[in-house]
Amino acid sequence: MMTRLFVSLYFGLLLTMYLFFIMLHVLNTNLVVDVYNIIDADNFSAEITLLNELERHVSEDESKRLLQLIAERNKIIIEPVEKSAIPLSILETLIDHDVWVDDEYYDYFKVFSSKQYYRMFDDESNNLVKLTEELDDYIVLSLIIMLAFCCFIWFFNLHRKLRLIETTVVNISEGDLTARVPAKKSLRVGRLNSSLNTMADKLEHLLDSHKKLTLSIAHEIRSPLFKMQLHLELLDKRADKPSQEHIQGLEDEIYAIEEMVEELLKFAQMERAELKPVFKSIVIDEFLELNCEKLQKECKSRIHLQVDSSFDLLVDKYLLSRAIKNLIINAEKYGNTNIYVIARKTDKKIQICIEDDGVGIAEENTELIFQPYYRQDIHSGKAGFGLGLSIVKEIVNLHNGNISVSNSHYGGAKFTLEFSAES
Amino acid sequence: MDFSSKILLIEDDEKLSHLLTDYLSGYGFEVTSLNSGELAVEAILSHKPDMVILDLMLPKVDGLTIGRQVRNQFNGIILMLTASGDDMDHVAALEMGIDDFVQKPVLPRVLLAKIKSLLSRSASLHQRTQAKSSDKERIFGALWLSNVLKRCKLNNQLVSLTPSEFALLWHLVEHPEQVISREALLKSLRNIDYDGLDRSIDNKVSQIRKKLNDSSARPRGLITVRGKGYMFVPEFW
Repeated sequence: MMTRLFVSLYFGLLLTMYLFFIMLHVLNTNLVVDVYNIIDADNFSAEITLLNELERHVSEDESKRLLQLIAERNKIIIEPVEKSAIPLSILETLIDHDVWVDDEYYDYFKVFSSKQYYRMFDDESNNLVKLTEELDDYIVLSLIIMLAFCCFIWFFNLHRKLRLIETTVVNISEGDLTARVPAKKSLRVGRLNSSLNTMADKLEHLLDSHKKLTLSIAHEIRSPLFKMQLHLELLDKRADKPSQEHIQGLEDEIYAIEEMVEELLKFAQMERAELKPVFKSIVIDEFLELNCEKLQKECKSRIHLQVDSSFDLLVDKYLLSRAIKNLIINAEKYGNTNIYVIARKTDKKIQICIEDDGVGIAEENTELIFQPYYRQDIHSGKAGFGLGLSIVKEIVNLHNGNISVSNSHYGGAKFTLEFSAES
Repeated sequence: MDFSSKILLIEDDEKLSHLLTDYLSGYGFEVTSLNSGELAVEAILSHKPDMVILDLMLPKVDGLTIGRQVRNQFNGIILMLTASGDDMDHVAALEMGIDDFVQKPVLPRVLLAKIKSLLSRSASLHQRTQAKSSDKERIFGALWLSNVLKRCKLNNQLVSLTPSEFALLWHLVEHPEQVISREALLKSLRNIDYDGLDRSIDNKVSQIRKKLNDSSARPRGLITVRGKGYMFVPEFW
C-alpha cells in the first residue's frame, strides 16, 4: 500500500511542478507579452545601435572585430546568415526592429548599413555556459531527490499512523472489541483516531448490553424450563402409561423452546463475531448420513440422501450440522412429504443442496429470507424467531462459502451451499 | 456406588432448589440446600459434603468466587450449574477447581448420571480396591448380557437380538449413565455385518427397546437425549 501511495504522490508532485513551469512559460510568452525576450532583445539592440553609430568612424575590419568582441563577451556565437534562411515571420519583425529574440535555438539581428543579417546562439564550448548547464542539471536533480525525500518522510509517518488504525479496525471487526488506536498527538491522523475510539467505545457498550440481554433472556427462560423438566421427571414416577405419553409430549415442547433459545443465543453470538470455527476434515457421506438420520426423527417428511461420490471436506462439523439441520427443519416446515439432500463435487466446487416439494419461495423474497427475524408467513402458526436461515448464512460465511436459493424441480425451494473444493 | 452421599445444593432459586432436593433425595442422596452464596463457604467447610452443586449466578457472591475460596480446604466435588454455555470461561473455571459443569436446562436423568459418575470417580480415586466387574458379562437387575455368547436375557428369558442390535446395546451398557452420540454408536458397528434393511441407529434402538419392553413413548431404560444421543440407565432394569 505504502509504495504505491508514495510513488503516486511523488510522480504527482513532479508532474504538477512540470505542468506549473510549462504554464508559467505559456503565460509569459503567449498570453501577455513575451517579457523576457523583449528585454533581451532591447538589451542587445543597444549594442547593435552602438555598432551602427561606430560604423561611420571605424574600418570594416574594426567593426567585425567589435562584433566578435560582443559575441565573446555575451558568450554566444555570431555568424552571418542569408536573408532567405530566416523564417518569414521573423524577417517581417526585423524590418522594424534590429533584434529578434525568442525561445528557439537561433536568435537574429541585422546590423551595419549593409543590413547584413546575423544569427546568434549560445556558445556551448564556453566554460561558464557549460557550468551553467551543469548547475541547471544539478538543480533539477536535487529538486527530484528533495521531493522524493519529503514524500518518503511524509508517507512513512502517515503509513505508521494509518497502520495502527488499520490493525485496530481489523481487530474490532474480528471481534476484539477492546482494541483501540493510541490517541497520542504524534500518532493522530486528524480526528480519525479519536472518532474511531469513540465509535469502538459505543460498539463495545452496545454489544456488551446486547450480550447481557441475550444472556438474561437465556437465563430467565432456561431456569423455568429446567424446573418443568424436574417436575415432569418427578411426576413420571407415579404416572401410568397414558399419562407418560403426555409427559413425553410436554418434554418435546420444552425441547422445542430450548432449541429456540439456543438459536437466539447462537445467532447473537455470531452477530457479535464471537464464534470461532474449528476446522476439521469430515467424510461427506458419513457426515450427511448421520445428520439426516438424526433429523429424520424430528421430521414427518422423508429425507432422501444422495451423495454421488464420497469426498473429504474441511469444516467446523458442529456448525455445518447446525446449518444442515436448519435447512432440513425449514424444508420440513414449508415442504410437503419429501426432502432431498444432495452432495456433489466438481473440479473447483463442493455443493450441498437441500430441496423440498412445497410451494417454494417467491422470487421477490429470495433476499429477504436470509434476513434475521424475517418469517415467510407470520400467521402460519409455525414457531420460530426467523433466525434459522440467517444462522445458515452466517455459518456458510464463516466457511468462506456461498448460499443461494432457487426453485427445485421437485416443486419447492432449493438451497445450495457452495464451498471451494480446496479449502 | 455410595448412594448415601451428602450433597450440598447452593441455588438461589428456591423452587428449583426444592425440586432438585426432591429429585435427588428420591435416588438416595442426602441433600441439604442453601439459598444464598454468602454463607456458602462456611456451610461447605462445616458440612463437608461429598459434592457441592453450585449455581453460577448467585446474587452477591457468585459461584466461581465460592469455588475459588473453598477449593484449598475442601476435598469434595464441585459441580457448577450454569444457565448458558458462553457466560463464562470454562477452561479458566476448571483451572480454578470446579470439577464439572452442567448447563441448564439439562435432562434430570443426565444430571443424575453426571452426579453419580463424578462421585464414583472420586470414590475410586480414594479406594482403588473396588471390584471391577467382568469384561464379558453385565448384570443390571433383571437384565443379563454376555459379550462372549452374544446373548441377552431379561427376567431369565432369552431375548433374541440381531448381531448389530447386540453390539449397540453392549456399547451402551459398557458406558452406563453416559450420553453416547450416534456417531460413536455407528463406529461401534463398524465390524458388524450389515443385518437389516435399515442401517439407522434410531431404528435399531427402538427395536432394542421393543424387545426389552422399554416404553417406546417414554423410554426409561435406554433413554434418548435429544440432540446428543442415547444413554443406558442401569437402575431401571
